[in-house]
Amino acid sequence: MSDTLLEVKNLSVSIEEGPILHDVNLTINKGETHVLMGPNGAGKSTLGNTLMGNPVYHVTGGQILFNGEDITNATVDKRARLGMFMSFQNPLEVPGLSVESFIRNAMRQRTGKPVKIMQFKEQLESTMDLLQMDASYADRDLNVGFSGGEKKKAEILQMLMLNPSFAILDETDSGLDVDAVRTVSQGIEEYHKRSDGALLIITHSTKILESLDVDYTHVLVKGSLVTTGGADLVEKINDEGFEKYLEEEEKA
Amino acid sequence: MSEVIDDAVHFDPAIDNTKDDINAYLEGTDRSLYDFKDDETGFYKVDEGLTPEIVDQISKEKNDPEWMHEFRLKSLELYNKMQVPNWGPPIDGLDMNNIITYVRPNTKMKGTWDEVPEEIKSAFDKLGIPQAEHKYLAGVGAQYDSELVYHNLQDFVAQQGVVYSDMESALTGKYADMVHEYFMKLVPPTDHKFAALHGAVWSGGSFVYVPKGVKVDIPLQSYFRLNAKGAGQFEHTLIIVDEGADLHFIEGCSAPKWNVANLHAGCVELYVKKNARLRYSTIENWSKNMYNLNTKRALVEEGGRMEWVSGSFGSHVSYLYPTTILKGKGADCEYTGITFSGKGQDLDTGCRMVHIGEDTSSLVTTKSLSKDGGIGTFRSAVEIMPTAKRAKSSVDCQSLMLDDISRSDTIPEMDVKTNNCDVGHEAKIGRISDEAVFYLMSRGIPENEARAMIVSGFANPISKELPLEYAAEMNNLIKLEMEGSMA
Amino acid sequence: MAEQREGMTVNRLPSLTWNRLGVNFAKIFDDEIPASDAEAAFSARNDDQVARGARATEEAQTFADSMSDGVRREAYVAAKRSIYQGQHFATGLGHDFTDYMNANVPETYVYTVEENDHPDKPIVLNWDFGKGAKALAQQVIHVKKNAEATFLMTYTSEKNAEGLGMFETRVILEEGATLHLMKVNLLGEGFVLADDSAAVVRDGAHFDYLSVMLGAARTYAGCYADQCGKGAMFTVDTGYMAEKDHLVDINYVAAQRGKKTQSKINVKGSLRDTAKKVFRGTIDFRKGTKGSTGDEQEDVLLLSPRVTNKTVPVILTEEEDVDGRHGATIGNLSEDILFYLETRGLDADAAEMLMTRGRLAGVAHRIPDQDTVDRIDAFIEEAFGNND
Repeated sequence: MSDTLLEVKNLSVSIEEGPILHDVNLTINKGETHVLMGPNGAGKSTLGNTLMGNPVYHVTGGQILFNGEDITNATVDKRARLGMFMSFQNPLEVPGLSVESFIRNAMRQRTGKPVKIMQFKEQLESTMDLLQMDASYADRDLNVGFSGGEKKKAEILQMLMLNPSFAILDETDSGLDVDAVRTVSQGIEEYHKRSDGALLIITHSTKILESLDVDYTHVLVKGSLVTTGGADLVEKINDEGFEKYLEEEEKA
Repeated sequence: MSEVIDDAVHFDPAIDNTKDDINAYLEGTDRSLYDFKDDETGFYKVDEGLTPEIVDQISKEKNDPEWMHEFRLKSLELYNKMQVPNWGPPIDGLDMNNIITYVRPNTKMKGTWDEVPEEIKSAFDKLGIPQAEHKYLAGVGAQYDSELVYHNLQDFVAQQGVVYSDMESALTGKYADMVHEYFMKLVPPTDHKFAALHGAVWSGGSFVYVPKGVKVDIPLQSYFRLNAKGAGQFEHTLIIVDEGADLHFIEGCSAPKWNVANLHAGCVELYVKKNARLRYSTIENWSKNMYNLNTKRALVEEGGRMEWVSGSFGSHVSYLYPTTILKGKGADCEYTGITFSGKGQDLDTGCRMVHIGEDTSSLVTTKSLSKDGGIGTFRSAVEIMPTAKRAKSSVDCQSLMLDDISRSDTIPEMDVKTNNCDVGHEAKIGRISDEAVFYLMSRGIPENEARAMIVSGFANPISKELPLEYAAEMNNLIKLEMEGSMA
Repeated sequence: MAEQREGMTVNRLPSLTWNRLGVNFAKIFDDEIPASDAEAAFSARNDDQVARGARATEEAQTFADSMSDGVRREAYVAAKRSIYQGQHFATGLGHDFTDYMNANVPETYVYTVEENDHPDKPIVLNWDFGKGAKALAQQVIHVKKNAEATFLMTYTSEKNAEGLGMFETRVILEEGATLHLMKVNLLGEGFVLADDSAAVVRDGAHFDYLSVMLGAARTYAGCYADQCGKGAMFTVDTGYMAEKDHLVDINYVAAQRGKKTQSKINVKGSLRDTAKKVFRGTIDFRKGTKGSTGDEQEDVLLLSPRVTNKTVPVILTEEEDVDGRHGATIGNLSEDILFYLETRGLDADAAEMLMTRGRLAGVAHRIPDQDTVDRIDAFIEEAFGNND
């Protein structure tokens, strides 16, 4: 059995205003941690959203395979049920829908089985505890009135409860203070440890990566993947920035 | 505590899913529950249309006191002079010449369900009324067409001096003078054409009196069922909550769908005395051939509090604006309402707040949804009279358009006649955001369920105001409406 | 009874509501119109920047109608719901008023801003009613593709003068055009003013309407924007002040029909003594106006216990993909603000003037004509000064 989890082949993506991604290729194996870096507007979030199936983004060429299955045209909910997850950069507020009832519902969709209430409650409580979230958040309306940090924690909470095999973390660390970043990265570590889940981390900074073993780093510039390296590439980019890649892109 | 697995409830933000009796309640609920029709053999009916002779006939049939007989005839005169409204949904489909104003079921009112004729009892059984009475109500009245067929008040409530009877008995009984004093004083027949009609042909309904200081802990409920084809229902509800007393009254309505117009022109008059509190909850699910031209009004004295909770799901056309007159100092009113307009429906709902007393306050929160070509209108008026010093009013209405063939209008009015007040208003119209749907779907929830979850969440502030069982019914109605278009 | 009096029906609410509230329309009664034979003195500044000329009113009406989109506008909705009144070139005050003006004004001024033209100075049109006079005038302002202009219309008189002003301005905005139409009422206490505006707003065009209403005993102001073009924009900034037993009666309609249109209506003002104000504001999202937004905000400061303020902020929607909102804040000067101002040495009257001026300043200071801005300031100051 192959270890390949996600295969992106020659992926090109457009929105109404024009093309964004050009001919992107990416392979992620089970349990691997990938980091996606790039300057603002390079198309990092577009890649994450396209993998998840956001209808705003139109695939104009190429393929996305997940566990060998072509999911290029699959609905968003199907992708989720297959084990994909995305932590949103700006999680949406849904008034009237409680965190608890939402997660429970999503878990039932994910597993296709009824969720046992006591077991669920225990798991929810312990996970919230791990993320240093107050228990009262379970009854609150999803993301409504949450601070930036609380929203991001609620995303990680969902990830840990739904237990996906592949998670995209879109700028999960942006706008967080040091303590919150630490809590969130503990959550990610827990996910990685617990289920050997693969990760695609879209980030600007390295703080969130400190406690993780990065397998690959990719650099996206103007919609194209320009280079791929190991964990050391993160450091290098932090020192040197993206200028080099931008210049190369200009020449090309 | 035993583990409970929920399958019947897909989602229900308003409700703690661990309560298994709600699930059982929901499992048996679908649209067919309201749509059944019963045989009318042997029922007494008056002719279609409206003449003094018909009004005489109704009055005689009901053994009215003389003042009521005269009242009816005067109302009829007014009715014939008055015009239908020039605003609001069209009511051309309503031809009074074809509406039967009085249908008496083939039974006298009973005090136990066992005595109610089987075919009528089974109608209420299907609606879950006797079961509900058994579980969580202090008293129940059940009206079938024009007359109450069942009325009962639990002993421990009756012992506190609470009166809950049908209007006809009240007219001649111990409280006859009180009824005479209050009947159609708050909604006079001169108010509008359908109030005049009501004055002429009213029949059935409930009278409630809660004596001073008595707090009724569990709700009373009246259920109105209109079965007869082409008939009108004109029940009159008169509730007096005396000083310092407290009551929750629930009203439910349904009818099977006939292919001719039915008319509901009921009238509700509520008197909330000094420091009293009344909550009046309605889940209206008339069939979609019903013209629901109902008038509800409350008068609140010093320190009193009126709470309206209103869910409008049924009827073809509705004109419904519960009005609250905040007369006494510090009187207070909260109105919480939801309206769901689906295919073939033109529902014009909202409320009116009239501030007269000092330090009065009103809070209005409404939600409306339009779908499958339905037309929903929120209409309101907040009037601050010169005497209402330091009055406060806040209105918040939100509308959700669920497709692009429907219509949603918001027509509020504020009329402020003093400077010493604080009046605020906010309204929003929009649709379900694609991003929110994407967000929920990214957690594995199918699109139609994601949309239903968002809609249910939108309605949640209203459903959480209802008793559990009614919240469940309301969520189920929303779910049915949402599924309706997906089929 | 009021029904017995002859009058003209204006400022109809597009969607009727309870008649007893008295907001479905306004009436200008004949017996309230001051009799005056003198004609107001008309003067114009900077008007040589644009083409202008008088045309027979009938001819001007035909021209305006030919540039409007009226037939298509009403056809769909009228069939579905009878809440709209037929008027080919829809205006705020409505068809009775247009008919009256067409019958009584022989010539209409037509101003044309040529394609891509951006006259840098505001075109200022002033009617000075002096010690008392009347004026009935109609204008058509035609702004061609990608042109932009500012028209400032001011009505002035001596303080105690009386008279009648009736104005109707129809605006045609071609693709990408912008017009800032500013109307300033500085009339004396005995005036009846009826001031009507309307615009057809094509693709990418912007109709920017500004109104300052300070004087006159009775003011009827209407403005209707037919946002038929894609991305058509309609913005309103209105400031008013009403005192004594004066009336301000307003009717604004944003008919949003094109895709991605925007409307933003802001109305602010203050009421004193026994003044009365009626504000009708309608955002009307018609079928097909996908991706449109509409926002309507009202802020009313009530300064006396006997004022009357009626507000009807309506949103009509027959399109799903829209975002409409309105808000209203109505009340007196809050104790907190009053206290704060008092600690800075202001008395209640001064505080009230300051707050009134504050509400109007944001509007007035957008007017690119210092003389007019100064006159507005002076008018407010005098109004409060005389009340002592």
